Amino acid sequence: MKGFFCKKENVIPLALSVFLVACGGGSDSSTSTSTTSVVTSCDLETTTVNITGVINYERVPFSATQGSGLDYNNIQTMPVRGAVIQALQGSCVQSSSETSSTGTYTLAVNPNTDITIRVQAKLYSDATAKYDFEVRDNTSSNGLYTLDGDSSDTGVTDSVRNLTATTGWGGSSYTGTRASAPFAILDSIYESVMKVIAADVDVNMDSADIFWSKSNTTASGDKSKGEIETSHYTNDQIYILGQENTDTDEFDEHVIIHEWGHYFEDNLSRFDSFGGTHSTGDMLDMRVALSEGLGNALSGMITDDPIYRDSASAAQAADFRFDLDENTNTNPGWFSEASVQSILYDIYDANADSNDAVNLGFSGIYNAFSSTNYINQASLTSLFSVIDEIKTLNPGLSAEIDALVSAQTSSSLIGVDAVTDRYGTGETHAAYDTSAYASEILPIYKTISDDGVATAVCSHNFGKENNGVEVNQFLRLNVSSAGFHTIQASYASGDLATGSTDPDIYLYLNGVLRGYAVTVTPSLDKTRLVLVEDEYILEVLEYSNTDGESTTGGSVCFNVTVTAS
Amino acid sequence: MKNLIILCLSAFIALNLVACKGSTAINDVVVANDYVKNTSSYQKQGAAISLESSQVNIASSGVQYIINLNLNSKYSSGEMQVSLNTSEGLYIVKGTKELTQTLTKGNIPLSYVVTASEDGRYYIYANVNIESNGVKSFRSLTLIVQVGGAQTNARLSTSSAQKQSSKVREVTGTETIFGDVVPMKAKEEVIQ
Repeated sequence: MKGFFCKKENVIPLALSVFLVACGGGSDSSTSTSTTSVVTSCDLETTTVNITGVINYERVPFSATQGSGLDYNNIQTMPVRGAVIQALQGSCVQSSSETSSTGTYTLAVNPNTDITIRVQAKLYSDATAKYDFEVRDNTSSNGLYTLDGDSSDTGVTDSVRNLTATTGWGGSSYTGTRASAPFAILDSIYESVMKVIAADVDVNMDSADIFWSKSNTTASGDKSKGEIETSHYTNDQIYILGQENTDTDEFDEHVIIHEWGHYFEDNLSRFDSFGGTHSTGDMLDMRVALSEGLGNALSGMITDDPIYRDSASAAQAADFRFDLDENTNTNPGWFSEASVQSILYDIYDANADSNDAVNLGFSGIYNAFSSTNYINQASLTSLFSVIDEIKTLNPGLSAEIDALVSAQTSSSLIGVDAVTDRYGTGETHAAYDTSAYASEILPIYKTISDDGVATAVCSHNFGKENNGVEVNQFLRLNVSSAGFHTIQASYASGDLATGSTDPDIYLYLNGVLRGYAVTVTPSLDKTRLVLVEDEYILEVLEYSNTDGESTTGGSVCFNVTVTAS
Repeated sequence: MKNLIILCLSAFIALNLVACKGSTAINDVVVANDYVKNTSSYQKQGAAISLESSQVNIASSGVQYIINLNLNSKYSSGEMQVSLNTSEGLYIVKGTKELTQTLTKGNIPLSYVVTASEDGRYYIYANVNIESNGVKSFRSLTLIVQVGGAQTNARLSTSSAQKQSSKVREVTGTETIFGDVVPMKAKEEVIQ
């Protein structure tokens, strides 16, 4: 990277790429473009001098007292690691490099030249491992954050320039520029990237942007105004809260890595979750439980700190927290993100606590989530499918993993059995302590053939609208002969009267959506598709159980048929 | 004489307008749109409490309005502490900013009288601490208050086509710039 902008062969392509971006020709579709910085390169002379130094940022740590939020009396100076650094002569880039793992850098520059040192909030590598993460301001035309020194003469000998991104904290509130925030976020991403590279040296990561602004609030509206609802991930973009006195997350490493965990699942693994709100003790759709639990577990693995803390409130003086290494959870089971995070963290860590005799390290987790078998599984992602993969990759540890998993049980209905396969076959815990529904939630996957014989499935919303475990029901469909098939779900019974129900059908092949029927036709939905000989998964639900309206929805059962025709 | 009548009428209307501006009449608030709950984003964990509406539009600055900050609770027992604040220029004239309340499942209405100094976009921030069945949790909620100029909630969604497009973005030697950089000054130490 060093000297990239100073090579003449790079000047025209670079200028062209900037022109294309300005004209909307960039490949990233996430945001509209506006004015752009014109970046030019300038030649180095034969004789150069070096500017060296250290780039640091200030991190506000959590208080030693849990629940007391951030500790502004103990601000720490930390190195900016792996960031792109430039020597600027006006708007011209004289040389470029990356900061080291200790924040040091060296840039060769022309002597007797006015130079500014600029650090971009950007991690970039096109070497063996490939990645590109940038921290941008969604309230300022999505501009890339940079940390700039003063312009000063390079002289005729080597010199040192040390830069520090400061917090802007004024004693009781933020009174200055919060320059350290983007670099604190970047450092959490750096830790995550390095953890992955340690397990996979030639990993190729999709580029992603992290958006932070001091104006980012929990309002739900226009993101360019900071109305991001909460810290979240969507389509290779991570949004992080920044509004002081309400909820800031730039120093909350576990929150940032949790959201990066969704990026991890989306880009390096298999991502079946559809997200939504989630809280302690929720009994979730198994795909959502896995995804949220994985994000939490990764935050503990990457920081090697199992205490998840999320600061908030006036002066950031409070925090919500939980222990990833805690094995006693509210409503444990295959539908619990807390159970998922406990199990995955125990598989990772070396701390042999209750029922935990497994220590596979990060590679053990990474190898399972990134394996071809896991990514291409016919089943949907869940605690069952990842544990099955971990057991497959580590056959000598089956008994220990079974003990760890089955310990996430508190009653005959709330818990999880030892995993027998990716489908949760034989699972006896039905989530809700309501026997009438137990027979409907279990088995987790019903079976159906393409012979026109009906299979009954039921959708409810008595626990949690949209992403509750009781909302979406699954069927394994083995197609015996390729060709046209008609898939139909029709009203059978339930609290909702016929005519007021709206069944929806989704069809997946190895996790890829192959078809759906989501019309508003009352009590019936059907679709006709060409299917190949393979195993598909059908998902059936009542739409009004997912619409977020507390006045709609209820318990309803459908007859599902698949007919070769 | 005609000019004098026009002058008097103008003065009368102006005085009335000033009087209206300064009046303490309380108008009903218009709820702009419903809160979007069925979100597809992947978000951090938080207390199971939300706002029924994400935004209210009110017509005029300098006039007091009733705003119903309706919370939707998923908890059937426990206690919540709510701490309210506003962005600069929006004032809570009536209503308790700090309150403790028993939790019930469903809608929990909190009523406030507010006024804004001038037209614009304001926020009411609510920090909500929950303790239910021995479990503590937190959620920050923000209500958008649009004063004058009917701006609607411009919540963005990403289409599958956009998703597909973003998936094919490759790591290359060029940099995609969305806008000008956001430069921040460093604390700098120079050693020659």
